[in-house]
Amino acid sequence: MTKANNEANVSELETEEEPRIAVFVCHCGHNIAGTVDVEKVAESAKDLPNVVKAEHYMFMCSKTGVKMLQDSIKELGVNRTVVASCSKLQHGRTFAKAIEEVGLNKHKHQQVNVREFCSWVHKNDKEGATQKAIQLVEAGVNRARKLEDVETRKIPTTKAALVIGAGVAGLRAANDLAELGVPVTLIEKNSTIGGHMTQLNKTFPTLECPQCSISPLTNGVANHPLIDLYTLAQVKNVEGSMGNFTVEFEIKPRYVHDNCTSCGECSSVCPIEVPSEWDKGMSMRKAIYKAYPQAIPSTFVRDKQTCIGCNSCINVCPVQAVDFSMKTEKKTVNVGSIVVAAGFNEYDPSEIEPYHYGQDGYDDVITQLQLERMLSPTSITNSEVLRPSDGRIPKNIVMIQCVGSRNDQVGNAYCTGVCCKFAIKNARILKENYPNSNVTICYIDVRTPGLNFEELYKSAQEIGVRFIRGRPSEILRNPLTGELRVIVEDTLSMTPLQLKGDLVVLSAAMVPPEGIGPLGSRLHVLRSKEGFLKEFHIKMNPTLSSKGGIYLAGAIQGPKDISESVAHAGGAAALAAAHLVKGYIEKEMLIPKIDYSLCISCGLCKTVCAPAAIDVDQDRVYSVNEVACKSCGMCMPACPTGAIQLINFSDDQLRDEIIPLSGGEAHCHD
Amino acid sequence: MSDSEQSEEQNREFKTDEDFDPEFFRNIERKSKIFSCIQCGTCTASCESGKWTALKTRNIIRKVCLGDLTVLKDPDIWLCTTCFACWERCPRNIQPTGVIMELRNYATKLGNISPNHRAVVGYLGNTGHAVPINDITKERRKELGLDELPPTLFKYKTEGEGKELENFKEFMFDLPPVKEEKKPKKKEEKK
Repeated sequence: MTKANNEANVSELETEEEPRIAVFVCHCGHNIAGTVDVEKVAESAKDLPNVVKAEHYMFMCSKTGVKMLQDSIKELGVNRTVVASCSKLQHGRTFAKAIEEVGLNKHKHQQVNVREFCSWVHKNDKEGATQKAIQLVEAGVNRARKLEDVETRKIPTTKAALVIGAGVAGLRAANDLAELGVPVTLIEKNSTIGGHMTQLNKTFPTLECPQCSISPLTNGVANHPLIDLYTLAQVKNVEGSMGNFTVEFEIKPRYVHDNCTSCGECSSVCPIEVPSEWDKGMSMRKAIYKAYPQAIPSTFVRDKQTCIGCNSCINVCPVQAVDFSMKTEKKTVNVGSIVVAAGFNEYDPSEIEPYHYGQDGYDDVITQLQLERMLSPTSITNSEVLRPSDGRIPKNIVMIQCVGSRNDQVGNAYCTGVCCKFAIKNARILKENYPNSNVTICYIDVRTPGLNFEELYKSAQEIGVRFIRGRPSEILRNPLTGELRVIVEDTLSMTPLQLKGDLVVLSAAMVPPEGIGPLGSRLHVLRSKEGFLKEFHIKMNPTLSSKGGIYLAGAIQGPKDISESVAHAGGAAALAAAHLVKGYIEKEMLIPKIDYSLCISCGLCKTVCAPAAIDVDQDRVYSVNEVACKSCGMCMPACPTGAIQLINFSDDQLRDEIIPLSGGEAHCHD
Repeated sequence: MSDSEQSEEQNREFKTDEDFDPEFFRNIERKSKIFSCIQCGTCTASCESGKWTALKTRNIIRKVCLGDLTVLKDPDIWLCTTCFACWERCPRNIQPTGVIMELRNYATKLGNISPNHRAVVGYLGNTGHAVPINDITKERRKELGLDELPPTLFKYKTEGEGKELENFKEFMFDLPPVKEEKKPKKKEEKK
């Protein structure tokens, strides 16, 4: 904003009309009226200066309540309204919208919270609560007196979106966005798309083939004209705000060009073998490889870390697609929305020492994802379940639930909520495939809510899966025979047991994916204490992140199964597309003004401004970038002279508000 | 009353709310943790003592959660060897060993200390050390060029003011007397 503009706004202020304030106290049923004497509060507000009307009513948010508000404006010429009810976040917008409908600027409404701040926290002190409510209302009236109009401006958005992660959630979100006509850049850090779902053998509860379910989506996304897909790509820098982001990302070289015919000659001559990440170490891959037969993109990829540079693959490739000279590329895109679908990692159980996962002699302790890999049609064992130690079919299989979930010791207090379902599914499949084997699930609680899951549990019980209620304390190994025993108490019969475990399967938790820390900080979004990305509101907005314009899809927000992830991703895509399809976002110009007669050009406001919304020109004249400003108000306390003042949050206004609460004294910037 | 009818009546002796005092254990040190127990049984399965004895740690914690005061008379709480395996493995950090220690303190106040523990306390009170010194030990000490008696309170019981051991005994080991069990009323009626 230029200097001239600022001055014009100041002069507008001075010609403000006489304030006429209407006060409404809401009962909120018994929520407020049960503790606070609403009648007394309304009565006391009547005597306050400029108040022309003070009333109380059962539900101010009801149609009648809103009409009372509007009538006061129409009939009494009220130009500022105060409603003492719930939090501003709950119904502040309802009332602001109501006064806007009858021609008042919506910022002329002042919300006073006498529910969360008063009746709910002082339930046992009715008199004190009433007194506090009276003071809060007086403060609200004082604040309302000097409220100014705030303009709402339309800011055009960039009609494009970025989706981070190409698992089932990311694919769904990308597909939905593209179907709404939004061009999508989809980036995936691995060499193939499809995520964890492609690793599974069957999906619960219907025991469907996950490859068959997801391949229409992977193929559709890979060939969609509006979707640009980048694999081996990672976000490096994000700038801008909702509607207009600039994202820089890095694409690691694949070392194989797109003309690869996927013939596999290179892989067959490659002398290097390492455990396959995609197969969870259950098979080996070459240094130049394709993760699995149906992988998309089907282009092979060279792993530079393990490659010894023997050039065999270059020589053998019939189409000369292998090229070791490929370099890391950087790309920058402008997008209006970002959808984060970075998924999850399977918890690494080696942290839980008594289970000895990954230790010598404990090869037969595996995770559920590894079991899925053995059972799947693309497995190296031909879908047979074999003991990794000796390749025999196990007779006694024990599954251990809640490995890394519901465990304060490893810092995961949450229940993953999916493990019971997949363990029961796998137990049932094992029992079906090997009817003579003994399959036991050691659980703390079986949690199978939702349609069809209790039925799955029942079917597993009926087929003969044994359920033991108890969390195993340790897995013991007989040093002579190498036999494994699972030590557990059957808590229901109070019997300590030693179970033979020819194969022990750990139902490991879902944890935040690796690298989520740097990604989160590049996106400037908050994380929950468990490490997942934090949603805006757990009930009412689980797909928006803590930052406007950045949305969460799938397990990055918290553990989810496939159906939940898909639904979540669909919601995220719809939200992400809304302001892009509309073409603009509405921004309230709640921005600071600079009084140049006081400004000493010290630049402190610029230093503290997180969204970098303060500009400075050659003559050291500071001004506010209206679009970038987030109305946080950090600049105000930083200013040593009080020259920069956020509209409707100025020192003057806040002082007026504080006086009735502090018993008559308030000092700011004095 | 026939035998079958009598046994049926005994079976009907379920506990009622009056049998529990949920407030009692609210005051113990680890209150906030104990009540978050999920009864997973890791403690029992880890228990070195429980492999051979009747100690079922999970069950003891359960009784504490319910406010079942009979746990204070339970001889099982004295079977814990304080190896801390359950403490280390508990997924909710309930610290079962600590709970058992506190229960022992409560039980002792009520006079429910186990006879063996009482005997050890007796040794300590009388001699100043828990392991009695026998002739073999005395011989060994001599061979090593040490005094026959180690420098414990017992050695100096006659020195100084001559009351150290007595004071020690008075302040540290003032155990309540053995409590006589009241016989259940119902049984008396039946007799």
